[in-house]
This record gives sequence, C-alpha cells and structure tokens, in this order.
Amino acid sequence: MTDLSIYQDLLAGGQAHDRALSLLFRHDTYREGVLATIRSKGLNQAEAYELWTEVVIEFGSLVRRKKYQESGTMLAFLKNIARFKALNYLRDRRSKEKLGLEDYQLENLTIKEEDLGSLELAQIIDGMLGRLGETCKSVLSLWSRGYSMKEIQEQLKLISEAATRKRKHNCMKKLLSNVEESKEMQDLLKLHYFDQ
Amino acid sequence: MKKPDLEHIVQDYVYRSSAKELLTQSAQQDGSILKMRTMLRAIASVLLIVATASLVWKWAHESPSLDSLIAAHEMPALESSRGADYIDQQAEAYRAGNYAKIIREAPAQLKSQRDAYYRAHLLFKTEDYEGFDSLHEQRTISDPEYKSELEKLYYLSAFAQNLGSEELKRRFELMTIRSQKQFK
Repeated sequence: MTDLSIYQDLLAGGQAHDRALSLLFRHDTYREGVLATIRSKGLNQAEAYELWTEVVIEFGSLVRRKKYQESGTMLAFLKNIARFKALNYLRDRRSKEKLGLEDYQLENLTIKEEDLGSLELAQIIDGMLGRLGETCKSVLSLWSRGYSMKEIQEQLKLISEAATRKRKHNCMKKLLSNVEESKEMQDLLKLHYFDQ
Repeated sequence: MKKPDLEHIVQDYVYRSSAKELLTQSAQQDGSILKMRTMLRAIASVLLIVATASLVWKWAHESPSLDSLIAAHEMPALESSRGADYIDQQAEAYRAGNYAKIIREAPAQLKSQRDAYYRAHLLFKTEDYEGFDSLHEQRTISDPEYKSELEKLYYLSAFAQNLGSEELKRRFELMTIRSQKQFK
C-alpha cells in the first residue's frame, strides 16, 4: 500500500474508498507516527488514539473535497492534521487557558484552518442524520463515501436506481431543511464558514 | 473567503459521520480479531502445557529409552518409571541373583501390570510362594500373556507348597484351556 494508492482509492469512492480508509486507519507506520506526534503535545494514549480516528476522517474528507496537496509525504500531512487536532483538543480542554492556535505555525503549511471540520457541527449533523431514519441515513452515508446509485440500490435492496436517486434527493433535502431550521447550526456555520 | 455551498458543507459532515461509523466498525472488527487471537493463543498455551505434561508423563512411565535400557539389561525392572539409575541398580542386583533386594526395594503397590508380573515372577524365583500366591490373588492381571504365565506359576506354586490335590485341582481349573493343555 503506497501513499498514491491510498489517495487514489479514497478519491475513487465506493468500496475502494472504504478499504483504503480502513487500511490507513490500521496502518502501523501512519498510526504510530501520528500517535507519537499527538502524544508529544501532552495527550495520553487514549486521547491520542481518539484523535487518530479524527485525523483519518479529516484526511478522508480533505481528499474527497480535493483539498489534499501531494507536496510532501502523506505521513507529514497526517501529522499536520494531528498537530492541529491536538492543539484544538487542548484548547477545548483548557478553554479558560490562553493556548491559542495563533502562536502555532503549522509545518509545511498545506492545510488551511477553514478546510478542517468542526467537531460541534459534526456532532449536530450526526444527530440529525440519526433522526432521518435508517434508510435515509444509509443512503446518504454511502453516497457521501462515493458509492454509485446502483451500488447503493444493490446494497440497501431498494426498488430501482431511479428510486434510489429520488430517495437520496429527498433525504438530502430533508437534512438541509433541518440544518437551515436549526439556530444552533446556523450560528456554528456562520462562525466556521461564513464570517471569515 | 468565498461563501461555500451549504450543500457541500453538509455533505462533508455526512461523510465524516459515515467515515466515523466505518472506522468504528473496523476497530470493533480488529477488537474481535484481537480477542479471537488472544483466545486462540490461550487455547494453544493450554494445549502446549497439556502436551508437554503428557509427554513428560509418558516419558516418565513408558519412556522408550527406559524400555530399551530394560531390554538391554535383559531383566525385568520393577517400577521402570523411577529412572535409569534405579534400573541400573536393579540390573546389577538381577545379575548378581539378588532378587530379594529387587523385591525389597520395589514398592508393594505396583501400578503397571508388567511390574506386578515381574514382582510375582521374582517372588516365585526366590521361592517366596506365599508372597507369590498373595500377590496373585490380590492383583488382577488382565494382560493375556502375563495372566497365562502367572496362572501356570500359581499352579506350580501349589506343587511347591504341597497344598494337596483339591487346591491343585482348583488352580488347574483357573488356568486357561491352552495352559491346561500344556500341562497335560
């Protein structure tokens, strides 16, 4: 498994994406390198492992959104994400303390802060997804991971490809409408995306 | 910053939620595999311990090297499980005709049929007919070869002790038909 093959599979979506993400998550070299980076910021092993999951997800998201730049090694990129996540974690933990990210320079700056997700937004959308119902959640989950309509239809045993497409459209519409109606969500979106 | 499309942002968070679920499943699978591996290792360890223990037990009781030692000495060895030194001592006593020493030093209760057979045999050799009769009557020997041999000696022991025709007849009837034919 090479950096390039992981990148290509993540980008390809569908089963190749899932396989690559799981492989990356379990890959000793990447994991140990990133865990060491996180621990060097003063986090314990359990916290580091929790953040490792976040780092992999963040990486997957950046690749899917074509925000990953192959300027260095993938491990260096993952470590960059890890540093950001670790400092963010510490800042949340010691919210009263002044431990701003402004003092921190990301090495080989390849990621913009605004490209990295917000944990609060993720939690709220996660809850909203759960309330949409099992089928809607599954359809949107698979679609977001790059599965084709045909693959989603087969996996979820839906009537037809067209019906699956319609289902996805309706589910997404419902989710967007929920997001727009949520004041908390709107405030967070403004904070993270629209006020910059 | 250009205002990003809300749909793209939401889609990204759907992806994050979905990827988290995928990785959680992956970690659980790893956990199950790890548990399975740990369990298999534990089973393998137990099997190894059992196998080692049974090998040691087998070596102690039916060691081919001890058997070959007994065979090389061309002598019976009581309690062959007691090791090479003991067998050497027995062999020396056997060669010197000191059967009484062998009987004296061997435990009264012999686990193996072979050892019991040899003990009975040596008792007969040392003309301890009462000891022989007692052992023969108390110990059940099922091995056909030993059984047949001891039945013959039991019959001869009655002769040696001059126990009378009734006892001779009784002991004769205890013998196998084949052994009886040999005496006839």
